[in-house]
Amino acid sequence: MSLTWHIVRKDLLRFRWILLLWAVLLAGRLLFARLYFSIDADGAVVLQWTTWVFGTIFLPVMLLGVVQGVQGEDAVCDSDAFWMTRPISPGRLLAAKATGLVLMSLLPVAVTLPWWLGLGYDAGQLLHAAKNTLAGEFLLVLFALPLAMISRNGSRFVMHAFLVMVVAMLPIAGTTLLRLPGSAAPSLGLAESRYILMTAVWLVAAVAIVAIQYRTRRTSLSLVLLVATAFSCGILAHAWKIDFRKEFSARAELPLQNAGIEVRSATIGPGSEVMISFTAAGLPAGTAAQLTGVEHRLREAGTEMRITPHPIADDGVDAAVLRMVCHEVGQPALQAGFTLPPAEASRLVAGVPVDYSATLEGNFDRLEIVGEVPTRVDARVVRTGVSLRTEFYAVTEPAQLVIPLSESAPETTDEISAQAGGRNPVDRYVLVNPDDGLAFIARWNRPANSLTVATVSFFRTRLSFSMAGFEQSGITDLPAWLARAKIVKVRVRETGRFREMVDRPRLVLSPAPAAGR
Amino acid sequence: MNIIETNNLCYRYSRADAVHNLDLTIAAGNIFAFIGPNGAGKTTTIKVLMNLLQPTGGEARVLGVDSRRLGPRERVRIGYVSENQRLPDWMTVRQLLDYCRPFYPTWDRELEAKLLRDFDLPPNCKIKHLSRGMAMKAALLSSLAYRPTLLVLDEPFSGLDPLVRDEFIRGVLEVSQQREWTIFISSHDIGEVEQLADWVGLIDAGRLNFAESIDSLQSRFRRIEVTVGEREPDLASLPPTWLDLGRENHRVRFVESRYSADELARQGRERFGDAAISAHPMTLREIFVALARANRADRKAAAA
Repeated sequence: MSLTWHIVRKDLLRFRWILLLWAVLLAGRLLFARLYFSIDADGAVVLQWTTWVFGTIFLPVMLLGVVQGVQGEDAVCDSDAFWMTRPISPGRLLAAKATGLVLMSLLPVAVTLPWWLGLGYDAGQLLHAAKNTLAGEFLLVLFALPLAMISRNGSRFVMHAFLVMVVAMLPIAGTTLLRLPGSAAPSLGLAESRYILMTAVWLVAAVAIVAIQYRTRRTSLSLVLLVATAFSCGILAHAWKIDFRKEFSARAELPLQNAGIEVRSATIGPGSEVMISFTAAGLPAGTAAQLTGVEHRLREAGTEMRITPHPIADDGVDAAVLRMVCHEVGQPALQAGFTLPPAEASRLVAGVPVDYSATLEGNFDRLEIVGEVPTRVDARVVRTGVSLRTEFYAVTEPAQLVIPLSESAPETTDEISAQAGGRNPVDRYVLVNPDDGLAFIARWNRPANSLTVATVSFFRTRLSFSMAGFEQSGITDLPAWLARAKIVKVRVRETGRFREMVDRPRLVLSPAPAAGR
Repeated sequence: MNIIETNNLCYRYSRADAVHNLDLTIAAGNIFAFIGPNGAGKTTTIKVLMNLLQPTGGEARVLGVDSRRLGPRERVRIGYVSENQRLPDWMTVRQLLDYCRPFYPTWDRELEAKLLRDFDLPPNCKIKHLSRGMAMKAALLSSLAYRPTLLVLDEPFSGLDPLVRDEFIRGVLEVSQQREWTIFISSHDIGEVEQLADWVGLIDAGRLNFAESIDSLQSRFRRIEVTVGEREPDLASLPPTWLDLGRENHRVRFVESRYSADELARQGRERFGDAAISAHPMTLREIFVALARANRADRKAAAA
């Protein structure tokens, strides 16, 4: 057994409980995601939030902690570390630490592997999913590594991380304070260029800091280099103007030229479930993951997905729920629900594959809706400078509904539904801001008698209020446009084929639809 | 063969010299006590010797190798125990030994077992749960079991109770008697190192005052007491070898750092006439205190 492996084993032994906790959290995230997808109730929001917390906070923090822990165990930033007086060369230690980190980084893949296998991923999909998981981890490790090199313990690590973040924000703060021309939302290509450049700069600095610390332990020099790098990244993120990813931008603007959706089958399953399987290809990466707004770390996993909508059994109130189970390459299965009248569901089964409607379109440059016609804003891709989200909803019968935000406003779902001209009950709407055409997903939460609006924004914030509370607090606190917002009822209706819809290069939201029925 | 050799060795922190032009030679087989007050530069010197810090001037050679090039090949022959060293305290004593063992081809498992018994260390207890003294003994055990050529101990007795100190010293002595090896031990606790060392070096304010054998040192230092009676002695322009001068009633006391009975008698006659002069041997502690006081007085005078 080599001495390098001997050190690796020591680190694995040292962090065995941390790794176990990490594995539990990873499994917990999958469990919460599974629960979230399996229930159709307001409580799902809590599960969604929990899943988000797991994926966005716990697990990345855990990985950062592991990096700091592994490196700090044999610190290279002071002269009191145990290893330095033992016959361990810096090169051997570096090799051991790198090996240990690689092994530990495989843990998320190992824990998620059964989940992927359960979803029926083939070897290629498994490879793809693993690659994307590791790529996400690599970025985190890359961020943490130079910090860990100069931090002898966790508190120093946190302090240095804050320092780096503050320094990186200085250029933006300076630009704002000095009233210099700010940078408009960058195009996707420019944003991509900036990210690549920042990553490259950080990578070079990280390599240099590793070399400095392992060779000479000149921590002050490394700290200066790190701060300078953070400042440079701040400048690059804000002021870099050269888009060397034009090719990517061009592709992004017309992302669906080669997209297509092929329906595989439509069957009625047990409990009168309507099962429709189809495969969508050529969609932007992350489409399925964004479908339900679930945040998880396995983003951008592939460009193919399989969607299986299947209405659950008729609930006896003149409606059925179309549940879509989406499989994307390298992604856990995601589900989303649509309420459909039973007749619509039956027609889906009868009419598939030609009559199911969905339109996918995107503007990747800024927050903007590019829907097709008001009668069919069936799905859209929303891209800010840094994120991509796709929202699906089938729109037919553009029943315009003005929410009368006044004391005489309807207070029950039924009244809203009636005003919308829809069937009863109706719980899916799209709010359209008449000023700028931005659309919002609105959901009526019948048990709570409240309206939930998911804004189309970077953070996908949710604005939730109850009608009763709304009246008490007044309407002046709410965006003015809300008073004039149009609600478009969401239904599924047979339209053209998918391929025809998605082949349109660019769709523009037409003027607000005429008044509802 | 010299195990440690420094030549004009300097280490400078941002504004102050921690070690200044240190010339030191330690031959193989010696037990060298490196003493000095707190902040004198002992630990810095050791860290430079161990290649934990890079010298800012001069050079140091350890086991015949430039300290800056000290690598695993040399470290398998060096044992190092320091009060500042961060031990992997999550390990048990057994795990610590298991971890260290593969790095040393000369690791002696019998010696390990013997020291484990002698030091009365609980093998399955985590180091963080050990007392400070026990943890130091664990560190010493992990540095003795491979029978190093050079053992460097940096303030090993700091904070240890007398019983543990005694066990510690006995452990070092016992192993050192088995073969010829070199021990470099730094301490400000002179009484303890006196039991161990045969050579001693005194560093103060980064400068080496002397480095010589304890026998030689004790033979050249004497506390001198002169009974001058009513006569006013001539205490101006004293010889530089007279340190720590004090006067009390009819007696003058000082430390002669270059003691020679004839020379003292001659100088005594010149200054004190027929006054009675007596010379008393000094312990290492007394020598250390006298020198430290003299150095402090010199620094104050220079500052003034």
